[in-house]
Amino acid sequence: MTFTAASASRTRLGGLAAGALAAAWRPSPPPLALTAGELSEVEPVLLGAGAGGLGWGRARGTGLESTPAGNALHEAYRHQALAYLLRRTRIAEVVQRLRAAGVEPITGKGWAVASLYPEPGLRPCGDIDLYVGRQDYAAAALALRGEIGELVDLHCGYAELDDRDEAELRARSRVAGAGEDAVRIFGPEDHLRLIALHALRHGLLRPLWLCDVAVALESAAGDFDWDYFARGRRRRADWALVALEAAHAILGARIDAVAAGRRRVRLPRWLVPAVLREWGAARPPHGARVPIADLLRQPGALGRALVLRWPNAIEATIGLGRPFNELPRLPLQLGECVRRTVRFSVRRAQRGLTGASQRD
Amino acid sequence: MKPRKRRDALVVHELPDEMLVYDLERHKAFCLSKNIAWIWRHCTGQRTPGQIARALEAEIGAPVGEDVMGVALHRLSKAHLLREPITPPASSARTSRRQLLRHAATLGGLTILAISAPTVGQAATCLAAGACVNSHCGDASGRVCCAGAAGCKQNSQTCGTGQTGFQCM
Repeated sequence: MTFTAASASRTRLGGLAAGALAAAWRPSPPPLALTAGELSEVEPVLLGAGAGGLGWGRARGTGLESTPAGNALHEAYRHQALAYLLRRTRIAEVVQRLRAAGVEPITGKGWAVASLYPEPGLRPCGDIDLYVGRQDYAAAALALRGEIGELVDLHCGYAELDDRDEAELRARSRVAGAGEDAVRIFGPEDHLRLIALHALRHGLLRPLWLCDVAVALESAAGDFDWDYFARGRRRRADWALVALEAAHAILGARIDAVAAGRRRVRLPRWLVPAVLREWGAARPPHGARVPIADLLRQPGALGRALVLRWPNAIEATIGLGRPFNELPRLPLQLGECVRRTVRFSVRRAQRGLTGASQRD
Repeated sequence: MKPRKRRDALVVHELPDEMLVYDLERHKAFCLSKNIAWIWRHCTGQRTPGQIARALEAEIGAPVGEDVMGVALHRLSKAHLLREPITPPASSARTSRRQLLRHAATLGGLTILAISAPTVGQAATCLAAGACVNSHCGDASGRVCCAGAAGCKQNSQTCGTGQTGFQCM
Protein backbone atom coordinates (compact mmCIF):
# COMPACT_ATOMS: atom_id res chain seq x y z
CA MET A 1 0.00 0.00 0.00
CA THR A 2 1.36 3.42 -0.93
CA PHE A 3 1.83 6.12 1.69
CA THR A 4 -1.08 8.10 0.25
CA ALA A 5 -3.41 5.09 0.23
CA ALA A 6 -2.42 4.21 3.79
CA SER A 7 -3.03 7.78 4.88
CA ALA A 8 -6.46 7.81 3.18
CA SER A 9 -7.33 4.52 4.85
CA ARG A 10 -6.37 5.88 8.27
CA THR A 11 -8.38 9.05 7.67
CA ARG A 12 -11.43 6.97 6.71
CA LEU A 13 -11.09 4.86 9.85
CA GLY A 14 -10.67 8.00 11.96
CA GLY A 15 -13.82 9.35 10.32
CA LEU A 16 -15.71 6.22 11.32
CA ALA A 17 -14.48 6.66 14.90
CA ALA A 18 -15.63 10.29 14.86
CA GLY A 19 -19.02 9.16 13.53
CA ALA A 20 -19.31 6.54 16.25
CA LEU A 21 -18.49 9.02 19.00
CA ALA A 22 -20.49 12.03 17.83
CA ALA A 23 -22.67 13.20 20.73
CA ALA A 24 -21.90 9.94 22.58
CA TRP A 25 -21.45 11.91 25.82
CA ARG A 26 -25.08 13.09 25.88
CA PRO A 27 -27.75 11.36 28.00
CA SER A 28 -29.74 10.46 24.85
CA PRO A 29 -27.36 10.32 21.93
CA PRO A 30 -28.70 9.78 18.43
CA PRO A 31 -28.63 6.14 17.32
CA LEU A 32 -25.45 4.99 15.66
CA ALA A 33 -25.58 5.18 11.88
CA LEU A 34 -22.87 2.65 11.07
CA THR A 35 -23.28 -0.74 9.43
CA ALA A 36 -22.28 -3.88 11.31
CA GLY A 37 -19.20 -4.10 9.09
CA GLU A 38 -18.16 -0.53 9.83
CA LEU A 39 -18.69 -1.04 13.55
CA SER A 40 -16.54 -4.14 13.41
CA GLU A 41 -13.85 -2.13 11.62
CA VAL A 42 -13.86 0.72 14.10
CA GLU A 43 -14.30 -1.35 17.28
CA PRO A 44 -10.54 -1.95 17.85
CA VAL A 45 -9.90 1.78 17.45
CA LEU A 46 -12.58 2.62 20.01
CA LEU A 47 -11.44 -0.02 22.48
CA GLY A 48 -7.78 0.93 22.07
CA ALA A 49 -8.61 4.56 22.74
CA GLY A 50 -10.66 3.84 25.87
CA ALA A 51 -13.80 4.87 24.00
CA GLY A 52 -15.50 1.45 24.00
CA GLY A 53 -18.07 2.54 26.58
CA LEU A 54 -18.96 5.60 24.56
CA GLY A 55 -19.24 3.42 21.47
CA TRP A 56 -21.65 1.19 23.38
CA GLY A 57 -23.68 4.25 24.37
CA ARG A 58 -24.30 4.85 20.66
CA ALA A 59 -24.68 1.21 19.61
CA ARG A 60 -27.24 0.06 22.19
CA GLY A 61 -30.78 -0.07 20.96
CA THR A 62 -29.73 0.00 17.31
CA GLY A 63 -29.70 -3.71 16.56
CA LEU A 64 -25.91 -3.63 16.54
CA GLU A 65 -25.64 -4.64 20.19
CA SER A 66 -25.77 -8.33 19.44
CA THR A 67 -22.94 -8.23 16.87
CA PRO A 68 -19.47 -9.34 18.05
CA ALA A 69 -18.30 -5.73 17.95
CA GLY A 70 -21.38 -4.65 19.91
CA ASN A 71 -20.68 -7.33 22.53
CA ALA A 72 -17.08 -6.16 22.88
CA LEU A 73 -18.19 -2.55 23.38
CA HIS A 74 -20.82 -3.68 25.90
CA GLU A 75 -18.16 -5.56 27.85
CA ALA A 76 -16.00 -2.43 27.93
CA TYR A 77 -18.96 -0.43 29.19
CA ARG A 78 -19.72 -2.90 32.00
CA HIS A 79 -16.09 -3.05 32.93
CA GLN A 80 -15.72 0.71 33.06
CA ALA A 81 -18.93 1.13 35.08
CA LEU A 82 -17.62 -1.13 37.81
CA ALA A 83 -14.14 0.36 37.66
CA TYR A 84 -15.62 3.82 38.11
CA LEU A 85 -17.47 2.80 41.27
CA LEU A 86 -14.42 1.04 42.69
CA ARG A 87 -12.19 3.99 41.86
CA ARG A 88 -14.48 6.44 43.66
CA THR A 89 -13.79 4.71 46.96
CA ARG A 90 -10.07 4.59 46.23
CA ILE A 91 -9.88 8.31 45.43
CA ALA A 92 -11.49 9.18 48.74
CA GLU A 93 -8.88 7.05 50.54
CA VAL A 94 -5.99 8.69 48.69
CA VAL A 95 -7.32 12.18 49.30
CA GLN A 96 -7.77 11.43 52.99
CA ARG A 97 -4.13 10.35 53.24
CA LEU A 98 -3.11 13.68 51.77
CA ARG A 99 -5.40 15.60 54.09
CA ALA A 100 -3.86 13.80 57.03
CA ALA A 101 -0.51 15.15 55.81
CA GLY A 102 -1.95 18.66 55.66
CA VAL A 103 -2.27 18.79 51.86
CA GLU A 104 -5.53 19.50 50.04
CA PRO A 105 -5.19 18.31 46.44
CA ILE A 106 -7.35 19.31 43.50
CA THR A 107 -8.48 16.53 41.19
CA GLY A 108 -8.63 16.94 37.43
CA LYS A 109 -8.90 14.96 34.18
CA GLY A 110 -9.38 11.15 34.55
CA TRP A 111 -11.92 10.38 37.22
CA ALA A 112 -12.97 14.02 37.58
CA VAL A 113 -13.92 14.27 33.93
CA ALA A 114 -15.50 10.80 33.95
CA SER A 115 -17.94 12.14 36.54
CA LEU A 116 -19.18 14.70 33.99
CA TYR A 117 -20.57 11.96 31.77
CA PRO A 118 -24.23 11.05 32.27
CA GLU A 119 -23.52 7.50 33.50
CA PRO A 120 -20.57 5.55 34.84
CA GLY A 121 -19.28 3.19 32.21
CA LEU A 122 -19.16 5.60 29.32
CA ARG A 123 -15.63 6.72 30.09
CA PRO A 124 -12.76 4.85 31.73
CA CYS A 125 -11.79 6.62 34.94
CA GLY A 126 -8.08 6.44 34.22
CA ASP A 127 -5.42 7.59 36.64
CA ILE A 128 -6.23 9.67 39.67
CA ASP A 129 -4.72 13.00 38.68
CA LEU A 130 -4.02 15.04 41.78
CA TYR A 131 -2.63 18.57 41.61
CA VAL A 132 -0.84 20.15 44.55
CA GLY A 133 1.12 23.38 44.89
CA ARG A 134 4.89 23.11 44.47
CA GLN A 135 5.36 23.93 48.15
CA ASP A 136 3.24 20.91 49.11
CA TYR A 137 4.64 18.40 46.65
CA ALA A 138 7.31 16.85 48.89
CA ALA A 139 4.84 16.26 51.73
CA ALA A 140 2.25 14.88 49.30
CA ALA A 141 4.73 12.52 47.63
CA LEU A 142 5.81 11.24 51.03
CA ALA A 143 2.22 10.67 52.12
CA LEU A 144 1.44 8.76 48.92
CA ARG A 145 4.63 6.75 48.59
CA GLY A 146 3.80 3.40 47.05
CA GLU A 147 0.72 4.80 45.32
CA ILE A 148 2.29 7.18 42.85
CA GLY A 149 2.61 5.82 39.35
CA GLU A 150 0.28 2.87 39.15
CA LEU A 151 -2.82 4.58 40.39
CA VAL A 152 -2.02 8.16 41.28
CA ASP A 153 -0.52 10.79 39.04
CA LEU A 154 0.66 13.43 41.49
CA HIS A 155 1.35 16.74 39.73
CA CYS A 156 3.80 19.22 41.17
CA GLY A 157 2.03 22.50 40.40
CA TYR A 158 -0.91 22.94 38.10
CA ALA A 159 0.50 21.84 34.71
CA GLU A 160 -1.33 23.63 31.88
CA LEU A 161 -2.94 25.94 34.43
CA ASP A 162 0.33 27.34 35.72
CA ASP A 163 -0.51 30.73 34.21
CA ARG A 164 -3.30 30.97 36.79
CA ASP A 165 -3.03 32.26 40.33
CA GLU A 166 -3.02 29.32 42.76
CA ALA A 167 -5.27 31.12 45.24
CA GLU A 168 -7.82 31.75 42.51
CA LEU A 169 -7.63 28.16 41.28
CA ARG A 170 -8.42 27.02 44.80
CA ALA A 171 -11.14 29.60 45.34
CA ARG A 172 -12.86 28.50 42.12
CA SER A 173 -12.49 24.77 42.80
CA ARG A 174 -15.55 22.80 43.89
CA VAL A 175 -16.17 19.95 46.26
CA ALA A 176 -17.76 16.80 44.85
CA GLY A 177 -19.28 14.28 47.25
CA ALA A 178 -19.80 14.71 50.94
CA GLY A 179 -18.18 13.83 54.25
CA GLU A 180 -15.24 11.48 53.96
CA ASP A 181 -15.92 11.01 50.25
CA ALA A 182 -15.58 14.72 49.49
CA VAL A 183 -13.04 15.43 46.78
CA ARG A 184 -12.01 18.85 45.50
CA ILE A 185 -12.11 19.24 41.73
CA PHE A 186 -11.14 22.16 39.51
CA GLY A 187 -13.77 24.78 38.83
CA PRO A 188 -15.53 24.27 35.47
CA GLU A 189 -13.62 27.04 33.68
CA ASP A 190 -10.23 25.76 34.84
CA HIS A 191 -11.16 22.16 34.19
CA LEU A 192 -12.31 22.81 30.64
CA ARG A 193 -9.12 24.73 29.96
CA LEU A 194 -6.99 21.98 31.50
CA ILE A 195 -8.71 19.23 29.52
CA ALA A 196 -8.51 21.20 26.27
CA LEU A 197 -4.82 22.06 26.63
CA HIS A 198 -3.89 18.55 27.77
CA ALA A 199 -5.62 17.03 24.74
CA LEU A 200 -3.82 19.37 22.37
CA ARG A 201 -0.43 18.87 24.04
CA HIS A 202 -0.80 15.18 23.26
CA GLY A 203 -1.78 15.93 19.67
CA LEU A 204 -5.44 14.88 20.16
CA LEU A 205 -4.14 11.33 19.75
CA ARG A 206 -7.05 9.74 21.58
CA PRO A 207 -10.63 10.44 20.51
CA LEU A 208 -11.62 10.09 24.15
CA TRP A 209 -9.86 13.35 24.97
CA LEU A 210 -11.90 15.29 22.45
CA CYS A 211 -15.07 13.71 23.90
CA ASP A 212 -13.86 15.01 27.28
CA VAL A 213 -13.59 18.50 25.84
CA ALA A 214 -17.08 18.11 24.37
CA VAL A 215 -18.70 16.92 27.60
CA ALA A 216 -17.02 19.65 29.65
CA LEU A 217 -18.02 22.26 27.07
CA GLU A 218 -21.65 21.13 27.05
CA SER A 219 -21.66 20.96 30.86
CA ALA A 220 -20.87 24.68 31.01
CA ALA A 221 -23.78 26.19 32.89
CA GLY A 222 -25.20 29.66 32.46
CA ASP A 223 -22.84 31.07 35.09
CA PHE A 224 -19.75 29.74 33.30
CA ASP A 225 -17.27 32.61 33.34
CA TRP A 226 -15.95 32.79 29.76
CA ASP A 227 -13.90 35.89 30.60
CA TYR A 228 -12.04 33.92 33.24
CA PHE A 229 -11.70 30.93 30.89
CA ALA A 230 -9.90 33.18 28.39
CA ARG A 231 -7.72 34.86 31.03
CA GLY A 232 -4.02 34.07 31.36
CA ARG A 233 -1.61 33.72 28.49
CA ARG A 234 -3.33 34.80 25.30
CA ARG A 235 -1.82 32.03 23.19
CA ARG A 236 -2.92 29.33 25.63
CA ALA A 237 -6.42 30.76 25.65
CA ASP A 238 -6.43 30.62 21.84
CA TRP A 239 -5.21 27.03 21.94
CA ALA A 240 -7.99 26.09 24.35
CA LEU A 241 -10.51 27.69 21.98
CA VAL A 242 -9.01 25.64 19.12
CA ALA A 243 -9.79 22.46 21.10
CA LEU A 244 -13.40 23.59 21.58
CA GLU A 245 -13.75 24.33 17.87
CA ALA A 246 -12.25 20.93 17.06
CA ALA A 247 -14.75 19.19 19.34
CA HIS A 248 -17.50 21.08 17.53
CA ALA A 249 -16.20 20.35 14.03
CA ILE A 250 -15.27 16.70 14.54
CA LEU A 251 -17.75 15.43 17.11
CA GLY A 252 -20.60 17.89 16.82
CA ALA A 253 -20.20 19.39 20.31
CA ARG A 254 -22.59 22.28 20.91
CA ILE A 255 -20.51 25.42 21.00
CA ASP A 256 -23.29 28.00 21.12
CA ALA A 257 -22.55 28.58 24.82
CA VAL A 258 -19.41 30.36 23.67
CA ALA A 259 -20.55 33.83 22.65
CA ALA A 260 -19.86 34.64 19.01
CA GLY A 261 -17.46 37.42 19.97
CA ARG A 262 -15.29 34.97 21.86
CA ARG A 263 -15.04 32.46 19.03
CA ARG A 264 -12.03 34.33 17.77
CA VAL A 265 -10.08 31.38 16.43
CA ARG A 266 -10.70 29.57 13.18
CA LEU A 267 -9.65 25.98 12.69
CA PRO A 268 -6.87 25.67 10.13
CA ARG A 269 -7.83 23.43 7.22
CA TRP A 270 -5.17 20.85 8.03
CA LEU A 271 -6.38 20.20 11.57
CA VAL A 272 -9.44 18.01 11.11
CA PRO A 273 -7.77 15.66 8.57
CA ALA A 274 -4.71 15.47 10.84
CA VAL A 275 -6.87 14.43 13.80
CA LEU A 276 -8.81 11.82 11.83
CA ARG A 277 -5.57 10.38 10.47
CA GLU A 278 -4.24 10.06 14.01
CA TRP A 279 -7.37 8.35 15.24
CA GLY A 280 -7.20 5.90 12.37
CA ALA A 281 -3.53 5.20 13.10
CA ALA A 282 -4.25 4.58 16.82
CA ARG A 283 -0.71 5.44 17.99
CA PRO A 284 -0.05 5.08 21.72
CA PRO A 285 0.19 8.47 23.41
CA HIS A 286 3.22 9.87 25.20
CA GLY A 287 3.56 8.21 28.59
CA ALA A 288 2.35 4.91 27.19
CA ARG A 289 5.42 4.11 25.14
CA VAL A 290 8.67 2.33 25.87
CA PRO A 291 11.20 5.03 26.82
CA ILE A 292 13.56 5.79 23.96
CA ALA A 293 16.57 5.40 26.27
CA ASP A 294 15.63 1.75 26.74
CA LEU A 295 15.53 1.16 23.00
CA LEU A 296 18.91 2.63 22.08
CA ARG A 297 20.51 -0.79 22.17
CA GLN A 298 17.87 -2.31 19.85
CA PRO A 299 18.29 -0.78 16.37
CA GLY A 300 15.22 -2.52 14.92
CA ALA A 301 12.95 -1.43 17.73
CA LEU A 302 14.46 2.06 17.66
CA GLY A 303 13.27 2.67 14.09
CA ARG A 304 9.69 1.74 14.96
CA ALA A 305 9.88 3.77 18.14
CA LEU A 306 10.93 6.87 16.21
CA VAL A 307 7.98 6.47 13.83
CA LEU A 308 5.69 6.23 16.87
CA ARG A 309 7.21 9.45 18.19
CA TRP A 310 7.01 11.55 15.05
CA PRO A 311 5.14 14.61 16.35
CA ASN A 312 1.88 15.29 14.59
CA ALA A 313 1.09 18.81 13.46
CA ILE A 314 -0.82 19.60 16.66
CA GLU A 315 1.87 18.36 19.03
CA ALA A 316 4.50 20.29 17.07
CA THR A 317 2.45 23.49 17.18
CA ILE A 318 2.01 23.25 20.95
CA GLY A 319 5.54 22.00 21.61
CA LEU A 320 7.06 25.01 19.87
CA GLY A 321 4.49 27.44 21.26
CA ARG A 322 3.19 28.47 17.83
CA PRO A 323 -0.28 29.61 16.77
CA PHE A 324 -2.72 27.39 14.87
CA ASN A 325 -2.85 28.90 11.40
CA GLU A 326 -2.68 27.90 7.75
CA LEU A 327 1.12 27.96 7.50
CA PRO A 328 2.72 24.59 6.71
CA ARG A 329 3.34 22.41 9.75
CA LEU A 330 6.25 20.34 8.43
CA PRO A 331 8.89 22.88 9.52
CA LEU A 332 7.33 22.86 12.99
CA GLN A 333 7.31 19.06 13.08
CA LEU A 334 10.99 19.00 12.14
CA GLY A 335 11.70 21.73 14.69
CA GLU A 336 9.84 19.77 17.38
CA CYS A 337 11.93 16.70 16.57
CA VAL A 338 15.10 18.75 17.00
CA ARG A 339 13.81 20.22 20.27
CA ARG A 340 12.98 16.79 21.65
CA THR A 341 16.32 15.35 20.55
CA VAL A 342 18.23 18.20 22.19
CA ARG A 343 16.19 17.85 25.37
CA PHE A 344 16.73 14.11 25.41
CA SER A 345 20.50 14.48 24.83
CA VAL A 346 20.85 17.10 27.56
CA ARG A 347 19.00 14.88 30.03
CA ARG A 348 21.16 11.89 29.11
CA ALA A 349 24.29 13.96 29.55
CA GLN A 350 23.12 15.29 32.91
CA ARG A 351 22.31 11.79 34.13
CA GLY A 352 25.66 10.57 32.89
CA LEU A 353 27.43 13.31 34.84
CA THR A 354 25.39 12.55 37.95
CA GLY A 355 26.19 8.85 37.63
CA ALA A 356 29.89 9.56 37.15
CA SER A 357 30.07 11.84 40.18
CA GLN A 358 28.31 9.21 42.29
CA ARG A 359 30.79 6.55 41.15
CA ASP A 360 33.66 8.89 42.05
CA MET B 1 -35.68 -22.28 53.32
CA LYS B 2 -35.83 -18.52 52.79
CA PRO B 3 -32.85 -17.36 50.71
CA ARG B 4 -30.95 -14.26 51.79
CA LYS B 5 -28.77 -12.24 49.50
CA ARG B 6 -25.24 -11.40 50.51
CA ARG B 7 -24.76 -7.74 51.31
CA ASP B 8 -21.18 -7.43 52.51
CA ALA B 9 -18.17 -6.65 50.34
CA LEU B 10 -20.17 -6.19 47.17
CA VAL B 11 -20.29 -3.21 44.83
CA VAL B 12 -23.59 -3.13 42.98
CA HIS B 13 -24.48 -1.04 39.98
CA GLU B 14 -27.98 -1.21 38.53
CA LEU B 15 -28.52 -0.60 34.85
CA PRO B 16 -31.87 -0.47 33.03
CA ASP B 17 -31.66 -4.07 31.75
CA GLU B 18 -29.06 -5.70 33.96
CA MET B 19 -27.16 -5.42 37.20
CA LEU B 20 -23.40 -5.36 37.68
CA VAL B 21 -22.00 -6.85 40.87
CA TYR B 22 -18.38 -6.79 41.96
CA ASP B 23 -17.25 -9.13 44.72
CA LEU B 24 -14.61 -7.30 46.73
CA GLU B 25 -13.53 -10.50 48.51
CA ARG B 26 -13.09 -12.74 45.49
CA HIS B 27 -12.37 -9.95 43.00
CA LYS B 28 -14.92 -11.28 40.58
CA ALA B 29 -17.46 -9.32 38.60
CA PHE B 30 -20.85 -10.51 37.39
CA CYS B 31 -23.53 -9.22 35.14
CA LEU B 32 -27.00 -10.35 36.23
CA SER B 33 -29.75 -10.35 33.62
CA LYS B 34 -32.94 -8.49 34.46
CA ASN B 35 -34.98 -11.33 35.95
CA ILE B 36 -32.24 -12.92 37.99
CA ALA B 37 -31.36 -9.46 39.32
CA TRP B 38 -34.99 -9.11 40.33
CA ILE B 39 -34.87 -12.47 42.11
CA TRP B 40 -31.63 -11.57 43.89
CA ARG B 41 -33.08 -8.26 45.04
CA HIS B 42 -36.02 -10.14 46.56
CA CYS B 43 -33.90 -12.68 48.47
CA THR B 44 -34.46 -10.84 51.71
CA GLY B 45 -34.79 -13.88 53.98
CA GLN B 46 -38.51 -13.16 54.31
CA ARG B 47 -39.90 -15.29 51.45
CA THR B 48 -39.61 -18.88 50.32
CA PRO B 49 -38.55 -19.66 46.72
CA GLY B 50 -42.18 -20.40 45.90
CA GLN B 51 -43.29 -17.00 47.18
CA ILE B 52 -40.55 -15.27 45.20
CA ALA B 53 -41.57 -17.23 42.10
CA ARG B 54 -45.18 -16.12 42.44
CA ALA B 55 -44.11 -12.49 42.95
CA LEU B 56 -41.98 -12.72 39.80
CA GLU B 57 -44.91 -14.22 37.90
CA ALA B 58 -46.97 -11.20 38.86
CA GLU B 59 -44.13 -8.89 37.85
CA ILE B 60 -43.50 -10.30 34.39
CA GLY B 61 -46.89 -11.78 33.60
CA ALA B 62 -45.55 -15.25 32.78
CA PRO B 63 -45.52 -18.51 34.74
CA VAL B 64 -42.39 -19.17 36.80
CA GLY B 65 -42.18 -22.63 38.28
CA GLU B 66 -40.40 -23.41 41.53
CA ASP B 67 -38.03 -25.60 39.52
CA VAL B 68 -36.94 -22.60 37.47
CA MET B 69 -36.57 -20.61 40.66
CA GLY B 70 -34.31 -23.39 41.92
CA VAL B 71 -32.05 -22.98 38.89
CA ALA B 72 -31.86 -19.23 39.45
CA LEU B 73 -31.09 -19.56 43.16
CA HIS B 74 -28.44 -22.18 42.49
CA ARG B 75 -26.76 -19.86 39.99
CA LEU B 76 -26.80 -17.02 42.51
CA SER B 77 -25.38 -19.35 45.13
CA LYS B 78 -22.61 -20.56 42.84
CA ALA B 79 -21.64 -16.92 42.27
CA HIS B 80 -21.44 -16.49 46.08
CA LEU B 81 -24.20 -13.89 46.01
CA LEU B 82 -26.36 -15.67 48.63
CA ARG B 83 -25.51 -16.06 52.29
CA GLU B 84 -26.39 -19.76 52.43
CA PRO B 85 -25.48 -22.24 49.69
CA ILE B 86 -28.32 -23.61 47.57
CA THR B 87 -28.13 -27.05 46.02
CA PRO B 88 -29.09 -27.50 42.37
CA PRO B 89 -32.69 -28.59 41.78
CA ALA B 90 -33.09 -32.30 41.03
CA SER B 91 -34.78 -33.02 37.72
CA SER B 92 -38.13 -34.62 38.32
CA ALA B 93 -39.93 -37.05 36.08
CA ARG B 94 -42.05 -34.21 34.80
CA THR B 95 -39.28 -31.74 34.04
CA SER B 96 -35.90 -32.59 32.60
CA ARG B 97 -32.97 -30.24 33.15
CA ARG B 98 -33.07 -29.32 29.47
CA GLN B 99 -36.73 -28.32 29.81
CA LEU B 100 -35.92 -26.30 32.89
CA LEU B 101 -33.26 -24.34 31.09
CA ARG B 102 -35.54 -23.81 28.09
CA HIS B 103 -38.22 -22.48 30.41
CA ALA B 104 -35.69 -20.18 32.05
CA ALA B 105 -34.69 -18.89 28.62
CA THR B 106 -38.28 -18.03 27.75
CA LEU B 107 -38.36 -15.79 30.79
CA GLY B 108 -35.76 -13.56 29.17
CA GLY B 109 -32.90 -15.60 30.53
CA LEU B 110 -31.71 -16.14 34.05
CA THR B 111 -28.07 -15.66 33.25
CA ILE B 112 -25.19 -14.59 35.39
CA LEU B 113 -22.34 -13.56 33.16
CA ALA B 114 -18.87 -13.48 34.68
CA ILE B 115 -17.08 -10.42 33.37
CA SER B 116 -13.39 -9.64 33.60
CA ALA B 117 -12.79 -7.86 36.86
CA PRO B 118 -11.44 -4.32 36.68
CA THR B 119 -7.93 -3.94 38.02
CA VAL B 120 -6.27 -0.85 39.32
CA GLY B 121 -4.26 0.06 36.28
CA GLN B 122 -6.48 -1.12 33.47
CA ALA B 123 -8.20 2.14 32.79
CA ALA B 124 -4.99 4.08 32.86
CA THR B 125 -2.70 4.65 29.92
CA CYS B 126 0.05 2.49 31.42
CA LEU B 127 0.11 -1.28 31.83
CA ALA B 128 -0.74 -2.86 35.16
CA ALA B 129 1.36 -5.51 36.87
CA GLY B 130 1.08 -8.74 34.97
CA ALA B 131 0.68 -7.05 31.61
CA CYS B 132 4.29 -5.88 31.48
CA VAL B 133 6.29 -8.51 29.74
CA ASN B 134 9.81 -7.41 28.95
CA SER B 135 12.93 -6.04 30.51
CA HIS B 136 12.16 -2.55 29.29
CA CYS B 137 9.10 -1.96 31.40
CA GLY B 138 6.85 -2.39 28.42
CA ASP B 139 4.92 -4.73 26.19
CA ALA B 140 5.17 -5.62 22.54
CA SER B 141 2.80 -2.86 21.44
CA GLY B 142 5.04 -0.15 22.83
CA ARG B 143 3.04 0.73 25.94
CA VAL B 144 4.97 1.06 29.18
CA CYS B 145 4.21 -0.43 32.56
CA CYS B 146 2.87 1.69 35.35
CA ALA B 147 5.56 2.65 37.83
CA GLY B 148 5.75 0.00 40.51
CA ALA B 149 4.40 -2.72 38.22
CA ALA B 150 6.44 -5.87 37.92
CA GLY B 151 7.62 -5.85 34.33
CA CYS B 152 11.29 -6.56 34.48
CA LYS B 153 12.92 -9.85 33.65
CA GLN B 154 15.71 -9.35 36.12
CA ASN B 155 15.07 -10.78 39.56
CA SER B 156 11.98 -9.30 41.10
CA GLN B 157 12.58 -5.73 40.05
CA THR B 158 9.76 -3.39 39.24
CA CYS B 159 9.39 -0.45 36.89
CA GLY B 160 9.92 3.06 38.11
CA THR B 161 11.54 6.37 37.44
CA GLY B 162 15.22 6.17 38.27
CA GLN B 163 18.28 8.21 37.43
CA THR B 164 18.33 7.02 33.84
CA GLY B 165 14.66 7.53 33.25
CA PHE B 166 11.89 4.96 33.35
CA GLN B 167 13.67 1.71 34.11
CA CYS B 168 13.76 -1.58 35.94
CA MET B 169 14.64 -0.86 39.54
